[in-house]
Amino acid sequence: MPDPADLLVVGGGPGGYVAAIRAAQLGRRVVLVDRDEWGGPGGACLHVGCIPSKALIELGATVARLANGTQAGVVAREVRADLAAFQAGQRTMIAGLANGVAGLLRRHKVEVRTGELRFTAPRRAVVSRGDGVTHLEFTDAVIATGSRPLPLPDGPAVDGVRVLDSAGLLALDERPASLCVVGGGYVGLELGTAFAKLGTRVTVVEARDRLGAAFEPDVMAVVERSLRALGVTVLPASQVVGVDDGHVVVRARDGSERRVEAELVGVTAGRRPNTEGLGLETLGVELRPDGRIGVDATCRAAPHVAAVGDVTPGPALAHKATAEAVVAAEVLSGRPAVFAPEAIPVAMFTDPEVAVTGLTAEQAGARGPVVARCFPVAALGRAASLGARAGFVRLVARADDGALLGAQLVGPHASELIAEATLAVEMGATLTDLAMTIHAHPTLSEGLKEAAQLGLGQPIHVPGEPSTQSVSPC
Amino acid sequence: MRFELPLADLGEGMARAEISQWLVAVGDTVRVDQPVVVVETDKMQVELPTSVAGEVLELGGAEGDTIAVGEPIMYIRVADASPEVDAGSGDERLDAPGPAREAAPVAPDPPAQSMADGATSAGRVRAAPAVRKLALERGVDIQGLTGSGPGGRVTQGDVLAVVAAPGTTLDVGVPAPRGRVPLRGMRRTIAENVTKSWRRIPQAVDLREVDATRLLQARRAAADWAGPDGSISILALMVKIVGLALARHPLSNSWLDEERGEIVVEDAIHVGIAMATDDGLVVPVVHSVPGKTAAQIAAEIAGLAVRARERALTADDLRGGTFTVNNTGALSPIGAGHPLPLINWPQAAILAFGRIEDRVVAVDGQPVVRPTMLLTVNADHRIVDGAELVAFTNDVVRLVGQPDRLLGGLG
Repeated sequence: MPDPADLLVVGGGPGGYVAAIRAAQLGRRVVLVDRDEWGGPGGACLHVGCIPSKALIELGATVARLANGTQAGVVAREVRADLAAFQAGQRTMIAGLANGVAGLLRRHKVEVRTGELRFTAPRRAVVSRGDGVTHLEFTDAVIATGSRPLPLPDGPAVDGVRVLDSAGLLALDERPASLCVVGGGYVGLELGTAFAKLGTRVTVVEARDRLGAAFEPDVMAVVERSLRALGVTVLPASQVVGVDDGHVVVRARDGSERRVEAELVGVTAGRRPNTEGLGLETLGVELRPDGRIGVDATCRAAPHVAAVGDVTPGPALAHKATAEAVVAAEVLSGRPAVFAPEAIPVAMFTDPEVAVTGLTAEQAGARGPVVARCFPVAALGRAASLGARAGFVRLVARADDGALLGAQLVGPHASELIAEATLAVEMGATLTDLAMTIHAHPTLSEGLKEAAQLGLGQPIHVPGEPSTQSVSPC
Repeated sequence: MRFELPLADLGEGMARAEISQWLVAVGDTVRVDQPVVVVETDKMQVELPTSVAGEVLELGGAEGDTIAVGEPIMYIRVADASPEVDAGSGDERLDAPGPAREAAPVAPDPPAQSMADGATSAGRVRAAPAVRKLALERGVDIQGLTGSGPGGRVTQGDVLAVVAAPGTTLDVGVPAPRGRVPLRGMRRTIAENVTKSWRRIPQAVDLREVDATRLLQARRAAADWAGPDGSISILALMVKIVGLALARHPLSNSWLDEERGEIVVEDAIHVGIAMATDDGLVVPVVHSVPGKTAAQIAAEIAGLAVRARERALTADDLRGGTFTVNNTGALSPIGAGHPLPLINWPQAAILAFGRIEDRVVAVDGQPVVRPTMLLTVNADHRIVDGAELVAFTNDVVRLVGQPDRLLGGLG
C-alpha cells in the first residue's frame, strides 16, 4: 500500500518549502520530498547560492573598505581575510537558517522525506533512498526541483580541483592568487568582485559582446568601470579554450589567443532545470525544448500538478519561486489565484549594486510614449558621505499619466531601494506620487524622489531644465 | 457662491451609496459639520455632515437614488465672505473639518488629469495588487473597469460594484419596521436573488427522515477526544458529508450558465452556509471542503458565524460558493417544522436539515423512539435528473448513518 499524501511537494528550496507551508495553512496534509543534497531544507539558494554568496561579498566589501580606508580616515594595518574562519562561521549560519526552515515545516505539520522522487503514474510516485524505496499516492503535486549549474559545452569541465562551479568557489577556504571567471552574468560578476576585493587577480571571460546581458548597456557600463578600477580584467567576446598549469588559454572571436594567469577557474555560465528523471511523462507533463515545464498563469502544468521556480520559464530567481509557490498551493487547494506580477525585481550584488524592476524604457516605449530620465547618485548627500558616487536612478513612466512602469537603479544598496520602486509599479503609483512622498534626508532613497521630480520636469538637485527630452541617457 | 458637496469615500473601497434619508431640505441653513443626509452602502448606514456652512440650494437626488463617490450630493450657497471658494487655495480651508476633504484634490496632478478617458498607453489599468486579487476572486475583468480612485485607479469598491452581491438562499424574515419600508441595500439584494431562484430554476426536492443516532454518537466521541474546545457541530459534520457526496456527484456542484447555454461543473467544492443575521441572510463560504477535516470545518464555521454577527465578513468569506447548506433546525426550535429553502441562485442544489428530535420510527416491526432529522435536497431540475438527485441524497443519508469514517481518518 502506498503512503497517502494529500499534497506532494518535490523539492525543499525557496519554492518547495513555501508551497508546503501555504498548502498546510489551507488545511492540506502535505508531504515534502527533498533530495537533501546539502543537509537540511532551503535548496541551492540557502546552501550554495544567494545566502553564502552575499556573505562572501560582504567579507570582500569589509576587507576592501578597511584596506582602502585611508581617504575616509581609517588606518588599518595588515587587513586580510581568513577564509577558513569565514567558512566555519558560514556553516553555522547556514545550518541555523536551514534549521529555521525545518522548524517552520514541522510547525505546519509538513512531513519531510528525503530521497530521490520519481513519478510512476498520474497520482503515484516512488521515493528511493540508499537503503530502500517507499511509495506515495497523492492528490496534487507541486514540482519545485530547482536547477543546477550548466556545464559549458565547449569550455573547461568542472573537476572540483582547478575548475569549480559557483558552489565550489563559495566553499573555498583559501584565497586563490588568481581566478578566471568564465561567464559574465550576475553570478560571475558578483563572485569576481568579491574575490577581487579579497586581493585575487580576477579575469572575467564572457562569450557575448558585453557583460551582464540581462541588464541595459548603460547600467553595465557603470559596473564595468568599477570592475576595472578594482583591477579586474574583462575579456568580452572570448572563450576559454584550454586550461594548463596556472593559466587558461582565452581565444577572442577574432581568433587571437592569449594566456591568462589563473590558479583557479570558476564556471558561472548559467543554470539548467532539474527536470530529468522525474517521470514527468507519467503525469502527462511535457517538457519544453529548453527542458523547463510549461505552466499556465495559475502555475499548473496539468490539472493536479503545478510547477514553480527554476523549472518553469522566466528568470531563475528565488523570489519568483516563492511567489509562484503561494499561487500554486492556493490554486491546487481550490482557491482562485494567478501569478501575474507587474514587476519582478532583479538584483546584482556587484559594487555598485544593480537592481531593476518592471520595464526598461525600451520595453515600455514599444507600448507607448514614456518618460525615462536619469538622476545621478553622485548628487545625493548620503552617497557622498558613503564615498560611493557611481551610479544612477532611472524611473520609467508613462508619458500621459505618469504611471510608473519600471526602474533601473545602480548604486549603493540598490538591492534594498528597488523594493520601493516595485511597490510603486504594483500600486500603479505615478511620478507625482513618488515626488510628493517625503523621503528622509540624508538617505539614498531620496534618489527615487529626485528621479521622479526629474521625470516631472521639476528637478531640484540637478541642473536639468524642465524636460526637453523624455528619455535621457545615463 | 455655489458649493458642490461631493459624496465622500467612506472607506472599504466604496464606490457608491444610496440616499436613505435627507436630514435637511432646500432653503434650510446649514452649519459646518451638521449632518445633512443618511446614506447606505451594502455594509452600513452613515450620516454625512457638510463641510461648509450656507443655504441648501439643491439636493443631489431623491431618497432611494444611488450616487457615486465624488458626485455632488448637494449644492450649498456659501456666504460671499469666502470669495475664493472655488479656487484651489480656498478649498483646503472649506474642506478641512469634514470627510469631504478626501474628495478634493490637495494639489494639482496634471499628468493624472489626462487620464479622464481611462485609456492607458501601456494598456494597463492601474490597480493595487489587493484589488487585482479581489477582481480575480470575483471573476471581474479589471481591464474593463473605469477607476474611481485617485488618478483613475481601480478601487476595491469599483470591483465590488460590478459583482452581484453575495448569493442568498431564503428570506428568514428580519423583524420589519411598521409602515412602508423602501426595498434597499442588502434587503434588495436578497429579494433579487430569491426572485431569480424562484422564477428561473425549476426545483425538484428530495425529502428524507434520517436516523441520527450514530451522527450524535460520532459528535460525542469527537468531543470526548478533542476536549471541550474541540467540539464539532452537527452542521460541520453535515458540511463534511456534503463535501464527500459532492465529490461523487459533480452535477450537484455545478451551475447553469444560461447566457452561454453551458453547464459549468465546478472543480472546487466550496460550501456556503446560510446564516441569519439582524440585517438579513448571509451565506459565507467554507472553501475547499474535501481538503479539510470536520474539526477544521467546525472551527471555520465558528469564525464565519462570529464575523457574520459582527458584520465583519470579508469579500473572501463570501466568494466562490458552489453549493449551500442550510441548518433550518437553527430556525425552527419547536415542532417538527422543516421550512423548505430555495436554491442559492445560480448554484444547482441546496441541502437543508432540521433539528434532531426524538421521533417514533418502525424498527423490526416495532415502534421505537430514535433521534431523527428531516433532510431535504433541492436541485435545479434542468441539470439534475430525479435519479441523480436521489443518488446524491442517498450518499448523504448513507454517510449520516455511518459517520465514523468522517472522524476516524479525517477528524
